[in-house]
Amino acid sequence: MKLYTQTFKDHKIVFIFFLFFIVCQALFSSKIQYERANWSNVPQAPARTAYVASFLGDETLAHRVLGNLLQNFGGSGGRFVAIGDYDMRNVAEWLYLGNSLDPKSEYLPFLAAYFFGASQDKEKLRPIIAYLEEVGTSGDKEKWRWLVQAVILARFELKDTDLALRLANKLASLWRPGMPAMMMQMPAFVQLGMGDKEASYRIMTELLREEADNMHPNEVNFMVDYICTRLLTAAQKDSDPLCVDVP
Amino acid sequence: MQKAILKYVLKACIRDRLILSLLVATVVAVSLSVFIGSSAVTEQDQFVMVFIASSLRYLYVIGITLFIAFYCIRMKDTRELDFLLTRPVTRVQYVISHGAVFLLLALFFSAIVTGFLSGIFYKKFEVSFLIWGFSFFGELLIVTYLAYFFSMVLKSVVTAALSTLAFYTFSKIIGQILGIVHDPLTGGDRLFLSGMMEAISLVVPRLDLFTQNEWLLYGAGEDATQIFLILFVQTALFGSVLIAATCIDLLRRDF
Repeated sequence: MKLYTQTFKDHKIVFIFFLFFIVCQALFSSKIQYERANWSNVPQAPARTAYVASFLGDETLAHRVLGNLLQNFGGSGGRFVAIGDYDMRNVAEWLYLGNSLDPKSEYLPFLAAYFFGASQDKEKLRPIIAYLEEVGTSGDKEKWRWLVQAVILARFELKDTDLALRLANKLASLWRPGMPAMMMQMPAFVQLGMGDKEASYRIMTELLREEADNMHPNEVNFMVDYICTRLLTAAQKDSDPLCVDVP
Repeated sequence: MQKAILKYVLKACIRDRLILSLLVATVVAVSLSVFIGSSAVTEQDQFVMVFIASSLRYLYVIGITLFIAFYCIRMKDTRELDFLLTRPVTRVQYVISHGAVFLLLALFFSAIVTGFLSGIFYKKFEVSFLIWGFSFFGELLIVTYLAYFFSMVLKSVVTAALSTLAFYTFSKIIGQILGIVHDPLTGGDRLFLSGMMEAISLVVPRLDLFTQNEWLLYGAGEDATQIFLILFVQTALFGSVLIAATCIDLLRRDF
């Protein structure tokens, strides 16, 4: 402390400069504290090679960072952008890129189905449904589930029965012995007509019954929430044992 | 003499706070990885595992590069190198002794990282964790020898460290570059550039094949033995090349 006092006495002008600029900095910061970087919407996805090179060739890390980025694109630093305002064509580009980096991961299809699938602008769901269709037909084990999600989005969110029926037929063509019968039944469900929440309820509950053991607990929770908050009425929800723990 | 050099390098490690700094940084990196990975809406464990593995890999590569660069350049600046070479040790023995000590350091650090990963994810532990650990040891060993080579050849810490990290970066993306070269759509029409990159790739280690986080998430599959063999041969070959190159540089020097 003594040393500081002596230095202050010897170099007052430096200390005055320091104080002047620190006060100016504080004033400046107080004026711009509500400024935010502009939201320029979801940018176009980069080329795969360039993106992977920026992670020194580590494709798994690149995939996980991309997933984290997509999940938080519009909601960071106190800014919240409705999913309906996202440029879904660019989102789908990022999803395809991420999927090519780690085709085994269920993270991006999960985001596409349950996160971007909740878009307020239903017409924007087409690229997301196309992405889920590609993942669902990739032939990997259990990936067909994402084609079921594509059918549900096409039928109940986008309300495009022709598209839903085409996807349902594709799903039925993937059926092999040992797989859930629901896959074969899907075209019939779709043809039941638009807005048939009962059929959707049957699909989702059968999917839970047949496949819950193979799913991540979060995915099961999302499906239960989807059934209880979007498919059932308040009265149905109260009487359904599946919704006991759903507030 | 080898024991003396081992003690000498270990003392330098302690003096430079290498082990302590890396352990503290490891705790910070693991904590940050858990924090960021837990924000994912699903597959949190996979996110945390990948973030921990990648952040620790870069942390240890940079840490050991800086340590060796400072250690070697300081030895030259303070004439400690001249003094050590007056002892009953040949120049080749001197380099090989350092190679052995750096091998132990790489083994120690890779064991710490693999131990951390295995401990945190003990429920998912399988043989592929050990393959990842071995490949991390190989990667760290090659980087260590690279840093040693550049630090013995160059006079400045900055240029030695930057050259090592640049070569490391190039080695990590060499697989991507070869992918572009071999792709008929992108590389087929530039024969000269493609040929040049292929020629360069002959003397660059394929570090892109090392420490693949996919092994931690999904296992190494049926090719585990082949993967292990490739990693072993690549580490042994390029490690030997670097040690030999360092020997040649030291042999031709006048003191």
